[in-house]
Amino acid sequence: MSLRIEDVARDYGERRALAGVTLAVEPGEIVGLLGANGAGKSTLLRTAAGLQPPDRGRVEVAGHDVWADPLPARAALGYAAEEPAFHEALSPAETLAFVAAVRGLDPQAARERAHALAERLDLAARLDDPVRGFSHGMRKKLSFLAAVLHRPAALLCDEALEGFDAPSALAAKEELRSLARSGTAVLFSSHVTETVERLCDHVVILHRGRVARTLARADWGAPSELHSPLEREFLAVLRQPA
Amino acid sequence: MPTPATPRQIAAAFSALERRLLERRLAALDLRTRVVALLLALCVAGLAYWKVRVPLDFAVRARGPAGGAEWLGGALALFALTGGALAAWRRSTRRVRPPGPEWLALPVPPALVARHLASEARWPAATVFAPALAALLAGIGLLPALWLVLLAAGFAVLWLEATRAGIAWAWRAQLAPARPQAALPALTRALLPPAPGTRTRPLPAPRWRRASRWRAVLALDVASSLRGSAARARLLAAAALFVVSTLAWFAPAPAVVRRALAFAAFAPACAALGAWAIARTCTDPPGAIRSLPIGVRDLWRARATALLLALAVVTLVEVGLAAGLPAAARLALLSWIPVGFAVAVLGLQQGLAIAPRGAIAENLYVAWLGTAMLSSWLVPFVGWAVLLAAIAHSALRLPAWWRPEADA
Repeated sequence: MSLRIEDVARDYGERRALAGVTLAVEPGEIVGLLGANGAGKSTLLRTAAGLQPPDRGRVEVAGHDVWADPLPARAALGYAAEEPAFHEALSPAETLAFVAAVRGLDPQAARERAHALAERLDLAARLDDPVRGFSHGMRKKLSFLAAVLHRPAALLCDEALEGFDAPSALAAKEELRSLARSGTAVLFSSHVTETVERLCDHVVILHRGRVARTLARADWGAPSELHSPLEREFLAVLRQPA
Repeated sequence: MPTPATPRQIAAAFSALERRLLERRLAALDLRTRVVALLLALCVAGLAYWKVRVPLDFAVRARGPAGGAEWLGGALALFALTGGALAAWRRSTRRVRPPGPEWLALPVPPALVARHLASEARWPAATVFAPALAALLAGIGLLPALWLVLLAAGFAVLWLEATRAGIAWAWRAQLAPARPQAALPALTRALLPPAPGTRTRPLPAPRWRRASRWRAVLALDVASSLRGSAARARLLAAAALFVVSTLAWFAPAPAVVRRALAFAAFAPACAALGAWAIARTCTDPPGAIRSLPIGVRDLWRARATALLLALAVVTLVEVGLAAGLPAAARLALLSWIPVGFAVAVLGLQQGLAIAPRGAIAENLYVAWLGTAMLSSWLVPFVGWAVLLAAIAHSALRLPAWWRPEADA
């Protein structure tokens, strides 16, 4: 099991954000996490990523407890944040070089992968610009890139594709599928049902901090294509030669 | 279309905002922090009382009540001016991105926004109230009560004026760099965020290389500190003080005096290095650092190494310049390395223990250093005991880095 969340609970003062959530993501599986605003999706992912401690319960990544054994757990984890923050004075290339170094990646291979992914996400031209001037969408792309650079055993995506333009969103979805094929367990949180229904193998619906329902792909008759008919038309226009 | 709010309504809204901000800030302090802050305030007040009472008694005996009042007035003026410097410091450290909503999008007169931001900047300046109150209490029984009331009123007025002047200076410093929107009102220009994408010059491509985690953090610190950031401002302050310290060896004075002058600049430079460590630690975006396999040990090691290297280089330069001192005394200058490290590492540990709440970490750091200095001023070497206790206390709190507050 690459990602196991057991009975995780978290309160914010009087408000209960998570009331004992349990779920698991197998290697190679993409599990969607659906929920309304305030359902607890981001709290669950931040807790799983080691950014805020739970009041109760445990999170295990590749066999390591995120809170009791944080370094190996974080080494196996990738996290694309909902509101990504970076060192503003650094460039994406510097940020990614730092991430590669602390993750112990082969420098040359990491550099090549970073550049290839940046090319697909339409970020290559800005790799050496300071992050300070980046738009929200570009920050989200950089966060996604940093999260998948090391091909993690478990990947947490918190509204990861929000703010992406259509071609970049498609490239990111393809990358997620590719990672899943190579064994990554992906927990993909979103409030956009269309993305979830096309991308995910299973869906967990979170409601008021609890798992309200779990669905398999067959339950919703998932379309096989990653993009919708409207997206297809949009992409066709974008791909026309100038 | 809704009726615009009257200035009175807006002022009331700001009062309510400031009241709520104060409530939230007090609520954000845990019990231990409150107790430590209270003890520090009592300690500072007690020391100030002792330090004022004895010389004031001498002054009254020697020059009568008028001479005593003059002496006490001077002490209170010093506290008020310190408050002004603290307000200027707070305003200037917040000048890059003033905290709060998008002020310019609100239909609020700029003067009210300026008043609100000034009141925010005054909070650290209020720390001088503890020693000032203690100084006034020290005057009881030595000076007539009415004189003490007048001195208290004078202190309040001077404190307000000093903080006003300090904040005005900080605003002017913020406006100093030329901006193209020169036709806009001064406050509007000051509140404008830096336009995104104005810097088009690409940064040098990084070297992708294999490195241990702490070395990667060290490289990150170097890159971050050399570019526009809160850390760079503190690093520049430290560098300037180190330069002053080395220049002191060229002063036309006996070697022993030159050494004292050099140390007088060296010590605050070490404190500025500690503030740099706080800034670096507390401006690390939690999402970008805590989801990576980096531990508090890697961060401590990287930053402590940087501090130690900087102190070693500067101290060796000082040893080289201290030609007038006997050989043994020159060698003894090497003891400045552990001394400076103790001062600076306290900042690092405060930052790590309280990250990402940099303002609180910096306030506590200043409070600890201030208490240590006052203690040594009062009883020689007691400040070192205070400093070592603070280092031990912050070291015990380092594991808190692993469990950040959710809303921090």
